[in-house]
Amino acid sequence: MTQIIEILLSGITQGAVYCAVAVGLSLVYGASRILNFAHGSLYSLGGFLAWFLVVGHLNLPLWLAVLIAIPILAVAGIGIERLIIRPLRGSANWKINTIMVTLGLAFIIENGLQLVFGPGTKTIPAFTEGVLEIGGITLSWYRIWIFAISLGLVAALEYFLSATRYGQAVRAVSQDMQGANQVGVNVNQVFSLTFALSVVLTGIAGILLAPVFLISPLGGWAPFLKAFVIVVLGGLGSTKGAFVAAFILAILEAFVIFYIGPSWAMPAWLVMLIAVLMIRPKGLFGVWEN
Amino acid sequence: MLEVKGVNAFYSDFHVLHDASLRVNKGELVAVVGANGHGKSTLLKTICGLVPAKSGQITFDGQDIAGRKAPHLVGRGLVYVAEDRRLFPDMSVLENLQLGAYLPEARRREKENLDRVFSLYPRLAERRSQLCRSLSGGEAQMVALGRGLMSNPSLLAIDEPSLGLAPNLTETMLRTVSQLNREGLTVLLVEQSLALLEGMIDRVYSIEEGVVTETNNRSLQEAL
Repeated sequence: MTQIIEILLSGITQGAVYCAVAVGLSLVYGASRILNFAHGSLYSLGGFLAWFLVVGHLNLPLWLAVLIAIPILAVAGIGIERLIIRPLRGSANWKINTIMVTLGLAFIIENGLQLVFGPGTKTIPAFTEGVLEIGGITLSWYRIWIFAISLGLVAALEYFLSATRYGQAVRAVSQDMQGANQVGVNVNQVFSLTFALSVVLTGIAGILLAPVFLISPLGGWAPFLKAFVIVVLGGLGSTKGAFVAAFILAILEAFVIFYIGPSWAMPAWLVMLIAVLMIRPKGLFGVWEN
Repeated sequence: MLEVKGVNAFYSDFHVLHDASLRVNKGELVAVVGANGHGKSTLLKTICGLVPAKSGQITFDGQDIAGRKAPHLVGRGLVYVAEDRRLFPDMSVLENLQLGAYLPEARRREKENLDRVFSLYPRLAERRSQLCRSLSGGEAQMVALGRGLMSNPSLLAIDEPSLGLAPNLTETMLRTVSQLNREGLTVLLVEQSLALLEGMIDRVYSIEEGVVTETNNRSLQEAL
């Protein structure tokens, strides 16, 4: 019994981090219909940025590194939208073209990271150690912290989207772009904003997971692929869907890893994805019927 | 208040508006009438900054607005109500109306305008928390017009409000527009048929294959 609870808890803590990565991908897709293939490399970028500030050169405390990384990641997000997405928007086949350029960007970021930091893996020491023990169940404090931080970030995003005017504008753009234009929403600003938020979320996830999974220049593909499955399962463009799907899949993963083996986690996800899509092609909370 | 002179507009490569000119004075209700596919909507969208004008002049409140985009024009009081409503389907009626008052000028008068919309359409007050996806066509049109009013317009450009509505609902809708006009709102209205507009309009233009002509009172009488 304690074993099952332990597996469940490990799934839930992992789910919160997957959620932070996936929600950003979904947010951008929802608002601007762009599937950002560089999302995973931006996750790595976050990790390397923090490594540079904390371990590599400056020996700053992690919290300060995160505070410095946030505006850098936000500006990177805005820059990507402005410089490589916006010029393509509206031209023929622009959706496919944006997939191609974000894929290209992923390779550029990866190779850039490899050039600057070398191909090896890096790590950042966890900011807290030790384990929590309750009734024979053990859970590391670090896991509890990243769970709380990730959940806090996702909750803050959800609050922003549902309870503020700018958040309302983001949802307005995702539901009817011309309608948003008609009421005075600057659609380009919304695109920039969602890219900034998305890159910050995935970058912070990269930082938080650096002590657990290590950072490497090519290490972003696994989180990207996972985020992609989560977003499709939850329903493209739905942040609520991404939230629910992240926990379902993370808990599934935890059980599969324990009972069958780590290499079966991804196949199990794909079986789950196919099963859900056969019954609900839109995904759990998908709304893209128009 | 609004002056359009020699405007040309295209939909991709298709030349839709040919040297279109029209004028709307303050307090007027002006109609543009024409059959489907002759450029009515494009005319309104071009004026409201949703379709770019290739050439020509558009002045609003004495200032040149050609080339200005919709979000900017809304802030100046030139507000467009779309024929296909363009509501936010997964938001409530109230949220849709609130978004009408998105810009600061409109937000300052949000409460006042919301009361006005709800007194105009008590039905929307009842359904304020219902998602717009689940509204009937008539209710959706009420929200579309209400959202336009929430933007605190000085000129409301309404694109074929009768589209997809039953005749009795169309009549109510147009009566409301006429009432708003009598209360002081300047309106530029597009419709397919003049018959519906009898007794409420000040002047009328007809549009045929993208060419706009003012129709004088006598031919207006004949047309009716």
